[in-house]
Amino acid sequence: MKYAWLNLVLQLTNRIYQRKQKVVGQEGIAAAKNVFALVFLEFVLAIVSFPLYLNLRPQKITAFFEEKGGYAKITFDYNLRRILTLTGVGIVLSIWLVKLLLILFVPSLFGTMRLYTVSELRPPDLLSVSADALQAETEIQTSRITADLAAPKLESVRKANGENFVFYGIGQPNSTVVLLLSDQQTAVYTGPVDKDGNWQIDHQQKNFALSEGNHSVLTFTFDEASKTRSEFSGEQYFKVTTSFLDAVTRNVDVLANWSVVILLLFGVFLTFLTI
Amino acid sequence: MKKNVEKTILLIIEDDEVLLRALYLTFHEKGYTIATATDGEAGLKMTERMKPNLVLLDLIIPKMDGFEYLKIVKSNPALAKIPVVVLSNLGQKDDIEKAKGLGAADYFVKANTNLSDLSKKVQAILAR
Repeated sequence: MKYAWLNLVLQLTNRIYQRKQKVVGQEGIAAAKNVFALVFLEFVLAIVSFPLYLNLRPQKITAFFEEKGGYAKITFDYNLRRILTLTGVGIVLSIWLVKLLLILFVPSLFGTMRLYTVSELRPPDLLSVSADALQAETEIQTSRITADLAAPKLESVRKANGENFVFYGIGQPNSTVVLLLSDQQTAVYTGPVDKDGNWQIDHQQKNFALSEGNHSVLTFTFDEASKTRSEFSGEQYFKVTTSFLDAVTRNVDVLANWSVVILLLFGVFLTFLTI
Repeated sequence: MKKNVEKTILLIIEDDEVLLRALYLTFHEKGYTIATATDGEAGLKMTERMKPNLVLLDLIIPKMDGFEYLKIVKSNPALAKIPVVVLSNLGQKDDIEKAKGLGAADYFVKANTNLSDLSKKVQAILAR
């Protein structure tokens, strides 16, 4: 088992050497491909060889690199490079692990939020909904209420990326759903109902930031052809909270995405130094 | 087994520190006294001072390459009898023949090497 591990280290160092030899003679996309393969192999080696660094004193060597037809000498801590690579891999893995743990153990941040009905919760300051909002939508405003159209049903609200909200529901197939979302002002969203009767409306916080607290949601079906609409659905509420975990989740998300980019660039830079 | 080899000095000349540590671990476990160098010049100085029982040599190393090291060691009567085993990335026939021509006791290409086999080979050479 131990030999298998040490042989793997030997094979990886050899693969890295072979790749470096290839890169020196290549240019363009082929060279770029090999550089990324090199970075990947270095990451793997950094992880596989980690136990070799425990309880052993680090040593330095001198590395050389070719520059404009001649050789320039630079002093580079090879050990440091590997440790930096390992640290980078460790940071990225940690960030992604935190993200995974949040998804697994704090599903409320990514999963379904609780929807309240009027009977459960009815804050007095959130009921100035329909009239002002409908002013903006002329066609909707002038539409006639008809009993032929059934009101859609809001089934769930999910938080996306630890920040935005996605509303899911069912309604009359191939119709249009209008969703009124209240805050200090009211946002009016429209969205299509698919042939199976499902609809989804995305709310972006950057466009219309919902403040902390309860927000009412009203929906109705609108038929553009006949300029008619259904009655409002029952008023429902959901609660927006920006907890510490929200902030962590949002930042972890950003970090997780950027860490990969930064680490790759860092890896490419270090790889070029040692070719 | 360990007691018999404790005073056997093995000098490893290898510039890739990860591999150097892997080799260190492989042979230290066998009870050898391990000396290491990460470039040719340091390797030569250590060879002169320590007179190791065997040298495990990489060919592409800074300051003085492995061929140059072999040439100097094998031309020095005080050091010529020290067996030098080459462990290199270079797998071309020319490189192998050149190293053996300069007096390498054996030649291992890293891409095809199993450390267990290398360890056995080192033991066999030391037992001669």
